[in-house]
Amino acid sequence: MSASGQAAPGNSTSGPTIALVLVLVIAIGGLWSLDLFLARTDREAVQNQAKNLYSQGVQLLKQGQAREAVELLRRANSMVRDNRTYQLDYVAALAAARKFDEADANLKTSLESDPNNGAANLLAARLMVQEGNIREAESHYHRAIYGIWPDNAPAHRMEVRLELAKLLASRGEKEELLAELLPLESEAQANPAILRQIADLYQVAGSPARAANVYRELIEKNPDDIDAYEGLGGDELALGDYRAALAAFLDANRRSPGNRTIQADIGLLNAMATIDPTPRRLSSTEKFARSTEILKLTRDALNGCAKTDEARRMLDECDTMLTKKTPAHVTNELAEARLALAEQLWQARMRSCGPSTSEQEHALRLIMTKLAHS
Amino acid sequence: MELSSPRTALRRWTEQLRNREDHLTVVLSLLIGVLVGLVVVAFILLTGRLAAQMYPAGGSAWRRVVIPVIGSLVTGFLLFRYFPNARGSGIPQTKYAIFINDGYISLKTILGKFFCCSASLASGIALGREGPSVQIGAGIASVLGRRFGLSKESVKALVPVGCSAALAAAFNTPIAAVLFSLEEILGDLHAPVLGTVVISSATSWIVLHLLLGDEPLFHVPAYRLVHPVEFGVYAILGVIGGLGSVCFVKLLLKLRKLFMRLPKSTQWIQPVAGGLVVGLLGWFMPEVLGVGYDYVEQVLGGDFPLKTVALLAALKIVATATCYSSGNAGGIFGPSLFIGAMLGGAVGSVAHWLLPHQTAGPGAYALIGMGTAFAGIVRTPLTSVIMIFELTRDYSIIVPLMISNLISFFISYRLQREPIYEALALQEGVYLPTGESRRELEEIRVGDVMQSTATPFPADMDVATARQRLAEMDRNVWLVGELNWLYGIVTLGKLEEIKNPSSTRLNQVVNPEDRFPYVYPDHPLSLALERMGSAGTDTLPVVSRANRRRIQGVITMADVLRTYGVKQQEAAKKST
Repeated sequence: MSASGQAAPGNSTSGPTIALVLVLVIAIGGLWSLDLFLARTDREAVQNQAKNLYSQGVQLLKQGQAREAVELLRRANSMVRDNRTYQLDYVAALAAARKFDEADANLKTSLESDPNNGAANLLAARLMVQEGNIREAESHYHRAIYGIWPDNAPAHRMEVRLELAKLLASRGEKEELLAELLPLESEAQANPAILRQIADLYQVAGSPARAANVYRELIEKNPDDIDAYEGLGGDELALGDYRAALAAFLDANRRSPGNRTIQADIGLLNAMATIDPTPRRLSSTEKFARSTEILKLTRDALNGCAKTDEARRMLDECDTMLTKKTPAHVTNELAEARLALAEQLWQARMRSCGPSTSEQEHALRLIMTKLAHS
Repeated sequence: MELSSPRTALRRWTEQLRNREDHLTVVLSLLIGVLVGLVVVAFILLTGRLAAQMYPAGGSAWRRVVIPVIGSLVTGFLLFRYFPNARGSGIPQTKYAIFINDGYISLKTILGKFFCCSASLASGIALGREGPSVQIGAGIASVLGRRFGLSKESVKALVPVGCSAALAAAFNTPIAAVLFSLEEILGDLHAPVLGTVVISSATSWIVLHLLLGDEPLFHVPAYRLVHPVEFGVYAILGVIGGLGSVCFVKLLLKLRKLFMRLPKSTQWIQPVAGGLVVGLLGWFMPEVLGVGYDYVEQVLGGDFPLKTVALLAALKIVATATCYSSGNAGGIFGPSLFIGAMLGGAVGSVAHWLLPHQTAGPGAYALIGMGTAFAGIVRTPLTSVIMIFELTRDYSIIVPLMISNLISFFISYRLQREPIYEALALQEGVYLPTGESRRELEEIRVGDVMQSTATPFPADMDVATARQRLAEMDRNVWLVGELNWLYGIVTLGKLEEIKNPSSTRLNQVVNPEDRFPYVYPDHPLSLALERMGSAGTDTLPVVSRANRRRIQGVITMADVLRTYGVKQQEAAKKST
């Protein structure tokens, strides 16, 4: 057979093969386009449905219907799996519905895929708080503070640190609280609302001086800030500087004349001013008279609830001291002796009757605290 | 030099491919992967969209009854009238294609399967999409193989290639797809098609990812083993999963037997029974409808009440068994995962209630439960472990999964000997080879049958004596060596060619460097038979794996036939 004769069957067999390849290429192209179209349609439909479910779920969560919200948010989350907001709100709903195991498990998955996510760590911290795992919560709070926030990161970090500070304050962890408040104060310079909260927290942390400084900053920024004057007055009071406290309350009163709280504080300071035995320029006679007044007040305070023999004995000792004739020339030593006895009576009162809370004893309480620290 | 046009180059290339069938098979595996991936993605998306149209959010309850009935009626008629081979799951039909029809699946069947299943599943019939996908994939492979002019054997070898591509795209589980094709479809994990099966699975998976992104079928929270006592709970789950699987399989087979007894003329309306049952159940519990993966994911997340999951497990068993046995189109993969998740969720809920500090949440048990039911129903323990791992991508579940899967598999095997697909085939009068039957044959080893007291001809024996000895022994080949040391083998044919047999020694005839046929004691008997056939000898030396020259014994054709219960003389008589 000739060469051309051999080529002929080859052509006849390859002809259909080429046609087949072409058909396949067209089929693949067509199917690819169809799949892309179907996938896009499907994605859009699913995303819309998920969005609706998410909105309804968040609404229910806000209304406190956590259990119902869980179902809707779960469906939204399973429809659109790469939406971090859906994931985290689902976990939040689970936590609100007290389904801690599931919330934990879901959050763990989110954190495994994105361990530096600020929002996820904040949620984990809140979850840990609800579960009573405070050490873990603090760790997650810190990860949230130093984590990644897609938008407005400084504001988020500040809010998280403030939340952590409030948690520490509620647990009375003063040193840790102070450690959080110091950086927070420097971050929150432009935010008076947060600065005010920081000042309050400084008081809880046992640092009224820092609190007073924050209020002074606030007054500097806004000289008509009545709350700042009040706060400053309170801090000066805690620091024992009654004059500065009175000045702050008077400033506040000038800006808000009808404010009864401020007026009550001024009244308290005036009352304290009449019995405070600590000012340096007091004459011995005046100091003795104020000491005698304080001794009487502490005696009355203890008298109302004294039940122990020791308390009785101290009251007797007090009566003896008060009925003794006052020498013509009183000295500071006599005043100090009365104050020492007054302190003993106050401690006995605290032991026998518990901490003082009455308004009437407010001035005495502050004076006694100042004496104890002086 | 003449430059060839692209058309000529393409023609030359296709010609070369046609001439080299093995190369063409590899290229086709890639093509099958792409095509099957695209078709399966279209199938899944189309079914999903149709279902969303039929059951819009907040739709009335009556839809849940009416739509499955209409769906099963329409698809039932189409299946009866136009696509009879597209009924059911698709897995047994694929196996028929391999073991009975030389890999033949028609284009009509593929189209029927695609559209009927899509309509049927979208209407809420409680069956799965994976089995049909497998048949569609196998069909595409079969059609392509035939169109490219491959031999029947090669077309047959392409069918599992299509299966793995389909399963990889349908479940997003490329490794499990390969294993399933070998373990279930071919019943041989060492099948020679492994390479092409892997190629198509990977290609199809890539197509899926390009189109739909990298998302596992189920997103599950990260679970961990809380306490060693959980292993005990997982073992209990294995028992319950195994029993549940047996209930499902037995119910399905029994119902199918009942439907098969009905007159053939009613076949077109029989699927309506499934549609009606699932519709009525769906009226009260909508989760029963369709494949139910949404609810599975919810249960995997641990969010469900105990009563609901326990009830759903029972209802789904009834719904799926009725839908399948009545002749609707759809598979049992998906439903088996659903049933398993519900059973697991129920066991997990009880365990967590009893031992809250020693056990993980119920979702973890639902996850393991899926594999447990799959292993019990489909009876592919290895595939089920890998599949669940791939579906969830959670490595921490592997050990509990293996424990409960094996227990479930064992219980299912003890209580229902025939695996489901083989049993279904058997109901249609088709005897598919089971893994067990293959294993039984493979279990007989050369070492069990060989004669261990074989004395070789000494190398200095003359050829005449050797000829005489062979004639006495009635052999056409024997060993040459000293004691248990083998130099080689000598055949009667070769000895008869020697002109001076009395003066020629065997060591002049046998070259120790020559290759010769042999077997090891651990080889299956079938291999010995095969090697005897290809070497044209009736005896093979059995040698040590440590040293091929060390004789362990001999195996003869008579030994092999005797083992299979055939007397050689009778066989010889029959052959004459």
